[in-house]
Amino acid sequence: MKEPVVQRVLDYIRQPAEEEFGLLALEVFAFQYQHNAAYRRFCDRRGITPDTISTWEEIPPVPTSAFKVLDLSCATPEQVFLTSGTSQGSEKRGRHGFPWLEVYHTSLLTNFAAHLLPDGARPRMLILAPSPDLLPTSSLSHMLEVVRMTYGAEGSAYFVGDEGMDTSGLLRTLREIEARQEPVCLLGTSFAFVYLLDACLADSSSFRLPEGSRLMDTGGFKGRSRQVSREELLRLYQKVLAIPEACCVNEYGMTEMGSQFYDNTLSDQVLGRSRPRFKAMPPWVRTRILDPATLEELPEGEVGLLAHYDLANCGSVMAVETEDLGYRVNEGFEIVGRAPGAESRGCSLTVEELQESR
Amino acid sequence: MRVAAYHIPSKISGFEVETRSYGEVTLDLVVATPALLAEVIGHLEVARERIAKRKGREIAELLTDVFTRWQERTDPFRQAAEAALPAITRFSQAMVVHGLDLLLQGYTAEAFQALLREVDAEENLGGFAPLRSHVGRAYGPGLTTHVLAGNIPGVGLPGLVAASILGSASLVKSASSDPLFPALWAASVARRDPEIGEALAVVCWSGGRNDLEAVAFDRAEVVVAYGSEQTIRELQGRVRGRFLGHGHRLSFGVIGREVLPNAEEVAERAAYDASLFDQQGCLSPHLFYVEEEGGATPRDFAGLLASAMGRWAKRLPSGSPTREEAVAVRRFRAGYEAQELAGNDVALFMSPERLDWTVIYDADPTFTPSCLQRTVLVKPVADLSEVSGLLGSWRPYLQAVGVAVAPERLEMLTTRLGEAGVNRICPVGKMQAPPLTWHQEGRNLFRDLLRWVDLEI
Repeated sequence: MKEPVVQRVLDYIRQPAEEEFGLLALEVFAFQYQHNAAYRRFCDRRGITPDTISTWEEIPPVPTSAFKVLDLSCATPEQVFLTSGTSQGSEKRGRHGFPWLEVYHTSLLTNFAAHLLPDGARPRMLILAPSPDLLPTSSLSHMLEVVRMTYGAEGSAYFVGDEGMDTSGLLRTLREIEARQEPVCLLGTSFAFVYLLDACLADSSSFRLPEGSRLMDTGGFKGRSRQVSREELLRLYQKVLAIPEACCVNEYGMTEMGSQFYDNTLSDQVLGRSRPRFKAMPPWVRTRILDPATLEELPEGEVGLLAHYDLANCGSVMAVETEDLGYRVNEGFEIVGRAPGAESRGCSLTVEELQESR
Repeated sequence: MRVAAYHIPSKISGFEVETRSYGEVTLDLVVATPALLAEVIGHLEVARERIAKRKGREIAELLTDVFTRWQERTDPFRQAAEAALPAITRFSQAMVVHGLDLLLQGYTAEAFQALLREVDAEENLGGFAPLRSHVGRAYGPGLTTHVLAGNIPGVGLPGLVAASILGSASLVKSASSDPLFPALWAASVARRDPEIGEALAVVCWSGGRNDLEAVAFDRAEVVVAYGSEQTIRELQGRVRGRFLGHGHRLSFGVIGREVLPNAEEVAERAAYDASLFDQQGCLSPHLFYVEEEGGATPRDFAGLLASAMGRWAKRLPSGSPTREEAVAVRRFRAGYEAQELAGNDVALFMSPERLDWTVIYDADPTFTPSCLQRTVLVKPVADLSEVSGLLGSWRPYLQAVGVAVAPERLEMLTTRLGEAGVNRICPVGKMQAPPLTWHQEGRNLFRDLLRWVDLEI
């Protein structure tokens, strides 16, 4: 059964009235405090209840690592996604249960359309990621499948199978598309794109994909391909696929969240705006940049920990404290990785270093 | 304030200096070039010929003087270190002052004598002399290049001191995270004895500069290096001479049930070990194994340790962690808090504000390294004899163990810990003050620097 607060979240996502975000967020918090026992204990430890706070910024964010240990669902989930766990080795995988997939899908499709299809296009989708048949617990695969079914033109397909990426099939399809001058949308993990680019660079082949083609890449490399900087990737997308920078949209998402973030570039281009690249916040998400030492909000431009307040997470915990660092840009933020060459100070080993060396 | 964070032979001039600012503190750094390093090494080699004629004992005596001066708070080098190191190293002022005292107190005349006795070759350093089995002569390295880490002021000093006593010239690559302390030390040696000062050089460059390191390593008879596993592995492949690498290590503590009637006092000492240098040292304990069925349960002990960590945080305040370090502490805390909320046998104690300190009681005895920044785990064992069995795959990384047990149990425990791979067993509360003669990583640095020539005629 759908709770009234869930219906209000759905209504808000469909027709956001931004001045209502704070009130709705507090309502979602009260709901979660009541229906999510683990989260209630988390808040109680901090002396926070729906009665003690009056602004959404006071809602205590749950660290993403808690998803590895705690059941944070507010009701019986319709679907559970697991984190990939690839970068953490043997560590436990995080679990995120969604009691109302309708909220997840509404957030996903609204936001995806706004940033990948702002011109109303319905292109053929070539997906450089495994399908949900292969990875039924992957939120990324689920997400791409929902997008494919809703917006993908005929001929949309996956190019990653049991045996890895079907590079030759993909190259063949790209050649056909090039010949037919039919715009295409490539979607996938960043490392899969690196495989594709490397395959093209290896035999000096390239494509002139028709105007209107676009791509969405996501995630890091996690040792699965060579490490490529964003600038270099954008350069290669242009060089090898002839997809201009603005049409290359990076997605930032995580299993622990019901919403995703996309680069502003393609939607800005369609709207005739020119701004530097950043991750745009959908109207039902607020991101705060926190000082990791104090959890206080940092002034504009300073790098800190990202905490997301996502109404689409109404079925678990709305406020999520990530382990990602970033800074505010326009109406969004940009992510920074670990500073290059920043070795830890200690001569004592840290858990991370040990895990790397073992 | 503005300080020179380099030390190069006095005859060299015309080199370029750049500045690096840390808030109020500005450091002058030499811009290292291959040509400058080659020139520096040329001068070091000349200076070395002079000091090689001097007796180790005499050099040890004058180094003792150097350290005695450093212990005076009015000494200009000491004052410069106290004023500048908090900004450079991120340690609090109180920690820098306390840490310097702790570091310097180890370099006494007795400690130097013990060091010389340890090498057991004094007469072989001046000429060929009988050994137990034959006649031999020991030579110190012509040039020793030291690649230092900046985690704690004074790491790497034993190697510098040993090289100097053996009449070796030293080229020091100081760490970007602390270019200052080694430079101040070298300058203070030059003040006491210009001739030895001429055989020391301290230059900072960012690690991995192959053009510079090719020069710095090429003529070095020995390279002593501190750093991460990766750094050490990487350097090793590029050194032609002897390579003495010190990778990252970890330490822990063991507490027997018989001392737990005094749990509060033991916790006080344990907290001191874990708070010093914000746990950045290889001698900083990551966790304490506490035996069950003592006066206090291991869980109670964790609570007492937490209170003690709080008291030490007032006396020796925590420094400011980097963003990445702060994130690591948050992640570590969050993982254990979630376990506690899930009803696991885990208890999380943490500083009420900021990330000053964290104590975690975890009933799972698996050896778990900490994320550092004053984060300590307390784990129960039914009997201390179980501890060595829990160390297993950590063997290559083990350094010191702080021990609080009754004397009659020491033999059993130390035998097992020794076999498990640790290289120093000391009382809880003394973990961060090793003697100058400590066999770090189970080796004798002093002897490792020597080169022997056997005479069979």
